[in-house]
Amino acid sequence: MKFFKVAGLSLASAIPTLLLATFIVFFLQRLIPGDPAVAIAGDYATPENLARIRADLGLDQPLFAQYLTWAGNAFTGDLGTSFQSGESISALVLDRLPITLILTTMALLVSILIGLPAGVLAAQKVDTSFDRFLTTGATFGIAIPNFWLGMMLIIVFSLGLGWFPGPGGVRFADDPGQAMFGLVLPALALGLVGAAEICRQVRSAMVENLSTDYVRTHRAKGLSNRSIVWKHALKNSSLPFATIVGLQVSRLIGGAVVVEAVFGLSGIGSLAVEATNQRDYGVIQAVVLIAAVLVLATNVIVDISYRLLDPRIS
Amino acid sequence: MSLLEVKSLEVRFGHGEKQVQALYGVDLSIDAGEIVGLVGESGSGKTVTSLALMGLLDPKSAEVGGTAVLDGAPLWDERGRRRPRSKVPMAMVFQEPMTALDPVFTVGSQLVETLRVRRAMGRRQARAEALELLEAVGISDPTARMRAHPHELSGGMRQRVMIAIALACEPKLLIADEPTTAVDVTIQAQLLDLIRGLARERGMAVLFVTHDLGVVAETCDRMITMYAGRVVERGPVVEVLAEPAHPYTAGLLSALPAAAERHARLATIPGRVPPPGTEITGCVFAPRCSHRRDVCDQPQELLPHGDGREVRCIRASEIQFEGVQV
Amino acid sequence: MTTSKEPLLSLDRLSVRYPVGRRKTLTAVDGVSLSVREGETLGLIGESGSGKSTVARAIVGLAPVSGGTVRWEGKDVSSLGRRERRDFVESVQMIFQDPHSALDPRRTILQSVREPMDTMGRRKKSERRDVAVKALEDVGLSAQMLDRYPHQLSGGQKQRANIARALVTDPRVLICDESVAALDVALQAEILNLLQDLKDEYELTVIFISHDLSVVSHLADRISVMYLGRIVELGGTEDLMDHTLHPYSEALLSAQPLVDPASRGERIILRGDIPSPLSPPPGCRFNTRCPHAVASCRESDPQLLTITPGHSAACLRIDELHGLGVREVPT
Repeated sequence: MKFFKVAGLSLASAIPTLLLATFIVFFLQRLIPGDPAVAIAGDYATPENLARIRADLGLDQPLFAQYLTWAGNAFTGDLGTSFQSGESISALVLDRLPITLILTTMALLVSILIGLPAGVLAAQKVDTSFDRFLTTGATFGIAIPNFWLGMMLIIVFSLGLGWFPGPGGVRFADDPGQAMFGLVLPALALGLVGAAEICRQVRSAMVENLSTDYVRTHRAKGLSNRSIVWKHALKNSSLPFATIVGLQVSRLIGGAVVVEAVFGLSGIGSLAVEATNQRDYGVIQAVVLIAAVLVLATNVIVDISYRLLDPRIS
Repeated sequence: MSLLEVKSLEVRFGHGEKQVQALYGVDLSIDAGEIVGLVGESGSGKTVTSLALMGLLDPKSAEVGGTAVLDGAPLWDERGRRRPRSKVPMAMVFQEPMTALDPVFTVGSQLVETLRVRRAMGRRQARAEALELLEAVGISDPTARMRAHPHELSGGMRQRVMIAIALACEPKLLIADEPTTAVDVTIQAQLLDLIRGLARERGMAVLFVTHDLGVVAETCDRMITMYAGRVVERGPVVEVLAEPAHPYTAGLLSALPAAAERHARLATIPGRVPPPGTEITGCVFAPRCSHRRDVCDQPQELLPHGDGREVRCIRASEIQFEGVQV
Repeated sequence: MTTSKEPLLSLDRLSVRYPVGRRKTLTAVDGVSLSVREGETLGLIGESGSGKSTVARAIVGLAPVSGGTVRWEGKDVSSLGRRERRDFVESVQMIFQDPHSALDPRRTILQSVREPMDTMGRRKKSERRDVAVKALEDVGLSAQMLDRYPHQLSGGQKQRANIARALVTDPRVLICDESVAALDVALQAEILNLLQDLKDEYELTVIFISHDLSVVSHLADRISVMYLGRIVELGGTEDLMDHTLHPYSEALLSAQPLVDPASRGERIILRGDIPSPLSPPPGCRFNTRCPHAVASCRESDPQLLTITPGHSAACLRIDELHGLGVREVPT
């Protein structure tokens, strides 16, 4: 019961933010110079022609009315049609979304599966050479841009060693296994920075928790070191962990744009790049909206986990 | 043979040049069912003593020497390897009830976990025992309290939970480090009453670390005064307080406002506790002592002083200090 | 010692309430009336949630006054003019419990002690150093300490520096909030002696707040016992200690650990916890723990009544418990 109450509360608090996000997405979009009608009809179109295109697209309506129409349709899943290809944007997005979702999920797993244990181990061996090695590594990791890391991975593991397929992955629908395998390098390129970030945060939270009074109590009562570290100190470190994971998700969504370009993946990131080049308003709006919804959803999940993980937050 | 027998306990912190000695040959013995007060100001070494016995000093920075035998079995061997804490019938209650309990686990789970580790109980059995322990420490409605998180309890209640967790270890020796310093006076009275009762009922020995002579007088059978990492006086509480033999014990006693005439000037102890690591060959208290003579420059031994009492002061038999009438 | 002229500082039905969350209110101080006479030492004693520190904070403006008034020499401090206000602020100084966090770690002791004069623009700049040095001397800190930083001082020295800082504005009232609670006995004795000396030298009126009855009764001329935001008993120190009226004061006295426990009668150990000030019990605040509580204690709220001259208590059963006649009306 507690879960539903908490989830409801977190969801409710996300609604105003979501509305604001759609608002900003829509209006910022209109600030970009250039006229989509011109983009569609070409530079030599007649004024009548342009006016007709504008009327078709609803561009002659007042801005706010355009917003309401767009937001209302978006709510029902209709994101409109692409100015460029005339395709349904929803279909376009649905086609590209899976690969991005799988990529970011894999990257997140890379971040957590490497970052979490590394942070915990470093905290246990604080101020030893092992700890210093990990912390220095993490500092470098954070500083490395993911496009560079991506290129290095391609050069070493796919062009050099030939362990992984080169850029331009396999479509998911054709061969899921092969497609997933092809995503390993991009996920590493995208996720290693997060691993470094998570490692640092987890380490400092664990170091702090391991020196608290309650840990001393656990030692005094004879709990094993393993139980103290992996059960008690780790659960007490879960708030900073949830925070940093939440931040990583937003970062991964942004990073996906670059990594998809480097690895030639046709995900939602590359869709955004194409749409921007062609001033395809509807598509850009849809992509940004989806990114906003994903980030918001992450925040809701982080918020719920806060309340579930720490009984002191009510 | 006493329940706890500690011989020449020494603790040093740090390494090489910067090593600092915190305890100098502390001897202790506690009988079953006895409550012994360990008294002194901050820096006297009373908390270091209790942490050293519990094995809670960081082995990377602290070096523990001497021997300690609890209930016939040594706490550590000649090479300093400790017996696993879960096998030693000893438990500890700390000063800060606010921070000494794990904030994200329920009271019940912290108790049950202790019982499962210490007494190899099954989940169900541990739960039943946990309820009984909460009841034993005077917590009303234990079933509801089992589900509570520490932040939902008052300071006094948390300290009771701490005591319940300690009892879950079936200790023959309970080390209580300033367990009532952070709680209100009326709650302190309740907790002291509880600790005394538990010691009596269970035949449990208690090493009661405190800076408060009033608490010692109310709670303990014997007391040990520590100063600068050394035991300077010990004996039955009633006798030591009635007629302290060491000038330091006497000084602590006369500095209490309760002992003085209202508005009168309080007696003070001039000077400060020597910082850890200060090399002192003679009496450690001499620089602050108003009874100092040349003989005080020689190293001081803990000497018998009447029945069951010992004092580290060569002039003890020459000086009479005023105590309190008990 | 005390004269019956206009009190220097008085509280009239002072209340301090804090909103907690959306709907709840925490009433930290609930209608406290109290007057402080020039030259006296008034002790405020109580446990957590009693509101003793909040009273002090409300006096110096660190806690919001939600009801009632604080009067300085008979005038409501909320309506003082600028000059009078300044005079009041300079005249009432407070020393806190934790000597460590009350000093700015990046300032030297001299800078910290000068600070009240600098911010109030008091005295000529050239004089400020001398005043600060004199105050530091008065609290027993030598000239070598002036340029040190807080971390280079011991706990006792820091508390002395805090006291010196409170003295540089020539205060008339010094409020000490648990000022010796964090110190060892020997140091505590030194600071208590110092406070008594300073009281004479600076002709101070002192409000001494503590949970430690032995400390309060050593210093104070009068003692006010507080419980859950109310004053439950107020009287001359000797009167209150020897003829305790309120069951809570009795229990508090009895709970105090003594080095000579035999000098006290049977120990009263109260049942239960102090209720949360967020939801104080109806009727007498103490009824949930009082060994003498009867049904009416859970219903009607006792007023603080003068029982014998200069000694008042808030207890419905005072007559039955002590065989006294209530002679006067509410104070």
